[in-house]
This record gives sequence, structure tokens and C-alpha cells, in this order.
Amino acid sequence: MSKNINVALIGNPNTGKTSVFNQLTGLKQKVGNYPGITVEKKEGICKLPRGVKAYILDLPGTYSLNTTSLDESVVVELLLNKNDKDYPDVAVVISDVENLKRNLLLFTQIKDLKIPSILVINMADRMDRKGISLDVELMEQRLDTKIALVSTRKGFGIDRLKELIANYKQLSNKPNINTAVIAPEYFKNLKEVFPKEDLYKLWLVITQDVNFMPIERNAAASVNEFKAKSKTELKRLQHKETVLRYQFINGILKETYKKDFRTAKGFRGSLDKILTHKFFGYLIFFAILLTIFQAIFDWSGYPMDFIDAQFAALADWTKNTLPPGILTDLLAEGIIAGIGGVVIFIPQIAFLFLFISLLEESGYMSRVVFLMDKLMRPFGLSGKSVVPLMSGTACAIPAVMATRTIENWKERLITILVVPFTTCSARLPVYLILIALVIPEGRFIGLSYQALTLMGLYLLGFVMSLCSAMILNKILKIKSRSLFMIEMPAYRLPLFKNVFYTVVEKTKSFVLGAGKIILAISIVLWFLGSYGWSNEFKNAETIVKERIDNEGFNAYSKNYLQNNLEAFKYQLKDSALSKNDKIDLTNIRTALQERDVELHDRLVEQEIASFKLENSFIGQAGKAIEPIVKPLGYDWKIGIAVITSFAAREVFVGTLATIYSVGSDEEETIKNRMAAEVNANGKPLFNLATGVSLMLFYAFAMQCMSTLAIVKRETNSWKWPLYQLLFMSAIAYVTAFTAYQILK
Amino acid sequence: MIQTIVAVLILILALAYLVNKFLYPLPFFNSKKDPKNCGNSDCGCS
Repeated sequence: MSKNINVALIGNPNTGKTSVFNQLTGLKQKVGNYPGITVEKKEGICKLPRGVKAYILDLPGTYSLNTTSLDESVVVELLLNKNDKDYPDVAVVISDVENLKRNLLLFTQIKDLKIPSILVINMADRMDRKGISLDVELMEQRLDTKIALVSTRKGFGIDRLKELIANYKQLSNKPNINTAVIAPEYFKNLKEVFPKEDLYKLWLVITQDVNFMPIERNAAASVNEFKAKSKTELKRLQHKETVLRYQFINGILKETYKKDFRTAKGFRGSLDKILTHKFFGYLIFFAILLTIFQAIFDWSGYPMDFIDAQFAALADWTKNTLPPGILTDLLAEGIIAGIGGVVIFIPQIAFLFLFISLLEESGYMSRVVFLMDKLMRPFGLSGKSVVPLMSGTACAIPAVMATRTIENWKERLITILVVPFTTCSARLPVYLILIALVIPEGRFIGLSYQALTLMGLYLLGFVMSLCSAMILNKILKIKSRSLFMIEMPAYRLPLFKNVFYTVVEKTKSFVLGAGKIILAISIVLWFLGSYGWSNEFKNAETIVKERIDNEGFNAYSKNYLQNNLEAFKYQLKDSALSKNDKIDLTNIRTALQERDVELHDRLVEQEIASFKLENSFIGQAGKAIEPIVKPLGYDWKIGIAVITSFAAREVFVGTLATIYSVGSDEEETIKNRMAAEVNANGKPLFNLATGVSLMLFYAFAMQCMSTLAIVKRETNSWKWPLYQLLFMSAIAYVTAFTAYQILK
Repeated sequence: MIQTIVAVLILILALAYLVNKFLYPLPFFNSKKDPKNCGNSDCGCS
């Protein structure tokens, strides 16, 4: 008969809990070589020998059961509450072979809660290289447990772990240490007040910094009494308990753990000295960033142009192949154009995540966090805010959740409020298309202006988050800052499998997450751009034709016609000369006349489509908001794209692609359509002033509904996301306005 | 005619998706309160 058991994976940060989780469950949760990736519990199922089915719970990393932050409290809340549906039948404590001493502190605490526990010693493949030898059998005896030597990188030890989990009933649940010896009188009193409760469990409840109530209310009230009586005394006792545990652990390790330091001597120390150096550390980080941005532009240009051209061809094919009608137009001008606005950015997004993943996997990211800690202190943030800010370069949503590691509420709130300033991947498409349109392609000491601009925008976002933190710090006044401690993981060669999965998963979630929103908005926009109720819209054809008859084409069409005919004339002459023919003027004149008629008809159609768009539902809405966006250098079409981007930033390109496609018969790429847009003076709409204004607006504006929703969830109030929206939008408007007025 | 019906159906689906994604989480449409506090004693949310 099959049985179901609950298994909790617990351990210090960055010991590879999620890697073990993935190998047990076959799932692909995000892993990385830096602490603090898992802030919520995650569940998966593992089939064990003899038909046992295990519900595996991956918990956030914690150094001990004396929690100080919200993510750590998730672990203690679960272990102290037997009524929790996820309460583990067996705890699997994951440790790192190189940091066993520190990792065993947590193990002994869990063991003392009388939960059957298995010790996993992960990264066992490094033992030879690091000169480590272990007497596993003796260690099992001393710790009164079972041990699995595992390497998630090399994939060994997982079968033994499964076997041990399946046989969990054979595990001892006797405590390792008698905590009562640290204060016999105090524990005696506790036992008298709570005769039925487990003493170590009570002790943990009393000493927690995080406020939660896992035990009965009446009992909790009494516990609070105990707590209130001697807070400093409790801290002293907690310290005594830690010393007692380390004495126990040292005794065991002395007998069972040997490290040959001559073998272990590596280049890690010297590399750390360079990478975290107060000058060279920043220089190297800066150089790495430059390389990343340069590569994003240099490597992804070709695939981006290829995808763009394929979507333009697909739209053209759809229009020419399917029977004419509203559905064909919706497919060609709305859906395909909209999806093209997302898919075109796959190469850049993939390259960005490839580099981020390589930095995380190699262990370099922790050194960056260490460097940034020094940089952030003057701005009122501690190093604990660095991980969320760095995660913000991918997406603000996990970054806001990552603030749970910050124990001080005000510090956490400030980090939540400033995280959306860091440049997330949703801003990347907007920046890339605008940079390609308005920044010249030249190079400065081998680095393209475009890559430098992109890096400047990333730095701008980071600087803005620091400045905002400084202002908020003055307003909210943090009395004590969180203690920051970061583990420097060993340098490792990035594992291809992990890097590959990260790139695929991140790119997939960008395309699917953003793609669904962009597709839906493109469909709605196409309808709004293709229909209208005004008389101008209904009689567009008559009005435009009359105007052309009386006044001729508009400035753009006139220019287009003239330039096109000139180019065609030279083409005909060159073609005749290359064949050594005599130039036949009559033939050229006839060909030019034919071309003139063809272009004339096409331009009439285009002017009708453009007039209809201006008088459609969306055109009228755009015209209504134009006075607000005009001082920033935007026309009504960009205004609509800015408004729709308040749902999600990446919608910007898709919106413009749809608006520019409505009524258009030409096969044209998104970039070319945007480059061809002209203002009232017949000059390119996307010039340097408008481009910079737009980039600054997108750098600072709070345009992500999902982030606002997650901020609401994390702060449990609509007040903070609302402040965030207003504050960031105001900064965005003022900076975009100033930039445009100066540059125009 | 069929093209119009299919196109309108697509429009309705797109609108429904957007409403569900962005408007439904707002308190006006969803009065269910989140009982979870942030876990800190000095934040004012508990």
C-alpha cells in the first residue's frame, strides 16, 4: 500500500537545497551560486522506493532557528506547528561539505525538536580537491542520525537519500543536546508552567524576534510574560546555547572531519582579494557590465533583424493569402504585429539572462553583493538590500519578494519602494528599439555608443534607486540597520545544464508572461484603431480625396513621392548603362509615368488610412491626451503607447507596432515603421530629443501593474503602491520634460 | 460574416483576459482581504 510522507528540505543559505529539491522532484526551480534565492516554501512530489510518495518542501535558507527575518521565520513556523498540514515527518538538513561546522548548528537545533532528521552533506565531489576526508559512519553514530553524501552537480548520492527518506521510521528522534543545562532554574520554571509542552520548542517560541503565534493563544500569553521579564537575559542564554552547540559540534568534527590544508590551498583567496578590492573590484565589475551590454548589441542585431523581417513577411503573406475581411486584417495588422513586438526581443533577453546566470553560477554575484554593500551604506541601505536590487535587473516582482530577508521593517519598506527603479528586463525592449532609432552606430574606443547608452540607462536606474533610498531614509528614519552577513561561495565552473535552464525558463516566462498581455492589448488596440463613430471616420475617403485634389499631398507624401521618383529615375539610367544600351528617354518617361500613378494611388490609400486612424476611437482618445504628452515631445500615438505601458512596460513596442500597422499594406519591419514616422514638420518623429525623453520616462515611471500588486501584498496596504506610482510617475514626467525641452 | 463573428469573439476573449489580469485584483472588484501580516511588530500592518 502506498504511503504519503512530508519531507522538509532545510539548511543554511547556498548549500544547494533547491538543487537537491530539483533532483528529488524532477522539477526545475531556480538555483544559483549565491544566497537568498528561495524566500518562499516550494512543493514537489518524489516517488520513493516501496511505493512511498513524498511531498518535498523546499524551505528558505536559514543559519539557525533563532530567526530574525520573515523568510527565515517560514522555517521555524512550520517546525513548531504540528498541526500544519506540511509539518514534516522527516527533516532533510542540507549542508555544504566545506562549511560543516556552521551547518551542523542548525542540524542539532532541528534534531532537538525531536523531528526525525537526515543529514545531507552536499558538494561531496569537492572533497578530494579540497583535501577533505570524512568518517561518515562515526559521524552518524555521534550525531545519532543517517548521512547521505551527495553531489547535485555530479548527480550522485540522491538514490541513497531517497532510500533513507523511505526508511525514515528507523531514524532516531532523540535530541542531540540537553538545552536545559544552560539555565537549569529557568527551564525548571518553564516545565512547571507548561508541563505538557516540549521544553526546547517553548524555548524557541520565547526567543524568536519575529512575531508569530504557532502555539495556543493562552499558552502564548504566558510565553509572552516569560519573554517580557528578561529580554537581555534571554539573549545571554541564547548565546550560551550557541556556545554549547559549537562545543558539541567541535568534539564530533575533531574525530570525524579532516582537512589537509596543503591540498586545499587554492587561488580562491587571492582571486577574492582582487574581485572585492576597493578599486579593482569596481573596475572589474564595470568592465564586465560593459562587455555584457556590448555583447547584447553586437550579437543580437542579426537575429533581431531576421525575426523582425520574418514577422513582416508573415503579416504580408497572411494579407495576400487569406480571404479579405476583418479577421484577416486583425491577424495581419493586430495579432502578428503585436506578437512580433515581443518575439523580436528574444535574442537580447536570452543574452542578458545568459550573462546573469553565468555570474550567479560562478559565485561572482556574491562578490558583487559584497562590493555593493560598501557603496550603499552612505545612501542609508545595508547590504541586505543589494540582493533585491540586483534581482530587480531581471524582474521587480521576485526582487520585492526577496526583501523578506531584511528584518528591519523600515529598511525593507524603503527597499521595496526603490526596487522598481532598477532596470528590469521589461524595459530592455523599449530601450533597445529607441537606442537603435536615435543613437548613432559609431564607436568610442571600440565600444559602440549604443552599448554605452544602454549601460548608462542601467546605471541611471541604480543611481536613482540609491538617491530615492536616501530621501526615504530621511523621511522614514531608520534607527538601527539590519546586520548584513554574506557567505562567499566557492568559485565554480558554471554548470551548462543550470545555465541553459535558467536562460530557457527566464526567456520563456518573459515571452509568455509579456506575450499574453501584449497580444490581448494588440487585439483591443487594433479594434479601437480600425473603427470610429465620428463623421470624419465614416467619410474619410471622400474628405481625403477632396483635400488631395484641392491642396495636394501632405508634406511627408510629397517628399516620399519626389524622393522615390528620383531614385527610380537613376535606377533606370544605371540599368541601361550597365547593359551598354543607349538611354531611351521615351522609355524612361513612360516608366516614370507608370511609377508615378502607382505611387500616387498608394499614397492616397496611405493618407486615407492615416486620416481614419486619427479619427478612430483610439485616435480620438490619443488626441484627448496629446496636450499632456506633447510637452515631452510625444505625438498622440506615442501617448497611447505610454498609457497602455502602464499595464506593463514591454507593451510599448507592441502597441506602436499595432498602431503603425493599422491600414498599412506595405511589408515593413517595426523598426522601419517607427523610423518612417514624421512629425507635423515632416521631420523624423523619433529624433534624439524625443528618444532621450522617452528613455528617461521609461527609466523612472512605475509602469507595471503586477509589481504594484506584489507591493500591495508585501506591505498589506494600497497606500505604499499608490505613493510609489505617484512618486515615480512625477519623477518620470519632470525628467522627460526637462530632457526634451533642453535637447529639442 | 464568419470572419466578423470570429474577430468579435477574439476581441471579447482579449478583453476578458485583460479585465481578469489587471482589474480583478483591485479592491473595488475583489473585496477579499489578505489576512496575512508581514510578520514584523513595528510596521503597523499587524
